[in-house]
Amino acid sequence: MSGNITEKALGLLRSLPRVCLANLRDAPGARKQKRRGRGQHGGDKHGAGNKGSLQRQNYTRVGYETGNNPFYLRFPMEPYYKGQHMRRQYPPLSLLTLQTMIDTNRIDTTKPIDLVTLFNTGIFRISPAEHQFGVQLTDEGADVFKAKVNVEVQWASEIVIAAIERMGGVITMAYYDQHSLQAMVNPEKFFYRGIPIPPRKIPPQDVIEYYSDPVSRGYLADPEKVSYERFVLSQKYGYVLPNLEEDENYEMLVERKDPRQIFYGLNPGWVVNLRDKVILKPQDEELQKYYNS
Amino acid sequence: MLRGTIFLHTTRYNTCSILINRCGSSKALDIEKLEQETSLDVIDHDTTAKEEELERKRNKSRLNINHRNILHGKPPYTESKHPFHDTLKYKRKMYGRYGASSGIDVQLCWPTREELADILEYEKVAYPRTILEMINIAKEKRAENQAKILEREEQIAKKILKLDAWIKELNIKTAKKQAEAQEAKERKEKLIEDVRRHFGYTVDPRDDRFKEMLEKKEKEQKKAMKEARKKAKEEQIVTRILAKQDEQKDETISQNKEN
Repeated sequence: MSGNITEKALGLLRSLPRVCLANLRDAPGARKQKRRGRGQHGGDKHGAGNKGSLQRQNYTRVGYETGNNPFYLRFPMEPYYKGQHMRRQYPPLSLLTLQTMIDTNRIDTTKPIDLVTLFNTGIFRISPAEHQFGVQLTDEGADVFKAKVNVEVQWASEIVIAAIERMGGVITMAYYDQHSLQAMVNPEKFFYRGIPIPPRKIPPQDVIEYYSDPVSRGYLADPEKVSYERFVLSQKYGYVLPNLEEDENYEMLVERKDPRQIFYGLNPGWVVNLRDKVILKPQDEELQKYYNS
Repeated sequence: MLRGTIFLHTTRYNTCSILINRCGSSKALDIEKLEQETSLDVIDHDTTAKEEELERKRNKSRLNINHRNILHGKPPYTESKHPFHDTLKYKRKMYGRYGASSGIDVQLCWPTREELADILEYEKVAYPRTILEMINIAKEKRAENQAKILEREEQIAKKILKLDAWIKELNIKTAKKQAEAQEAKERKEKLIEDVRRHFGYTVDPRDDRFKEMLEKKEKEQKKAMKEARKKAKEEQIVTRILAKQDEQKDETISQNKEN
């Protein structure tokens, strides 16, 4: 019994840090607490100020405005804003800006474009902590958009899809959860944390339809149906759909991420070490099963 | 211990010591390594000491050792100085930033079996449905909403068909009500006029005599109305009976003709 305790204590001692200035505590009685002065002049105001409720320390309740209609009661309830602070936001990026980024060599169109590419331009950023769930492409500049790209965004209108597909490009709507987004916002910082790349989560119920719909080019949609919808859209807007298979960049244009994947070329579960320039992959079956599911 | 069998990593990092406690400090001793080191040290102990002394003298930076280490791309502390240095997060961070030179066991980067079980349990609760199930639910919901809209539209279409008839009915009803009100008003006026005529001069309507007379006249009028109604009813019955008799006659005639 006693031997066990000693062992435990020794084990604890071994794991504790060495005694140094940072973890030393004052000797008992080294500091004496000030006593509040009392008596006629000894205890004058005790730091509570002079006169009024502050001296008497009978503070009014929080939010009370001494007879005014208090701010927190001044405005009636606005039920139509219920849950507004919880809604997902998609900061906009116009096709014109995207074209400008391409024209100013900020984006390389020979590679697939995703959120990381946009963040790497240095002129676009989002904040996942503020409920921003990615980017929406807006149709401003749809007429002047001339680039052939394989782009992956989180939200886009039909016109934007048409504008990109008209030039022989490809667009996909993909959902990223906040943790994945945080990793994408600054991959270098993420890799410095020394943790494996997380698997991307599945979209919530209210957007599952959008991300699995071939009409909206969802990443969970059947590719055959998507190609059919591409043709349908070209008929609707009246342009000739360029044939993807005859394109010289065919392989780049059909490159897609796995629904669990966050970065192109990197799988979930891998640890990237920038210092040693190595990629570590888990070999355990359970871990592999978790990261590849 | 499991970890030793779990991971096989691609680096030169093969001789790392296995940590028993993930959150303990990294002071586990590798005896073989120590022996090797000491055996090497014995040979040129003096030269290394000299070199160290020289290094110490050359270092005029006045920097803290940890700051100097960071400046030279080395992990700031060689041993744990703070409880935070023993946390998993800090160790992973040190590995992420300084790689194998941090001396951290890479196995710490991944969750253990227990942690993985925790993660899986969390995901089971947070994401109970598969994508296909979710899609099906969304489809059902959409169909339900569409059905509701269709039903409502049908109801409205049915009601619109009847709308003209309803408007006509309402107009008739209001007209009838108005006519009745008008009639009642006229009747009342007539009564008052009658009472006035009876007295032969203008009497205050609040007068008792006037009221008495009014009641009397009213009763008379009611009686007359009742009789009129009775008469109308009788007349109706008579006409009905007559009509029946006529029908019977017609029928007998036709039967006779057929015979």
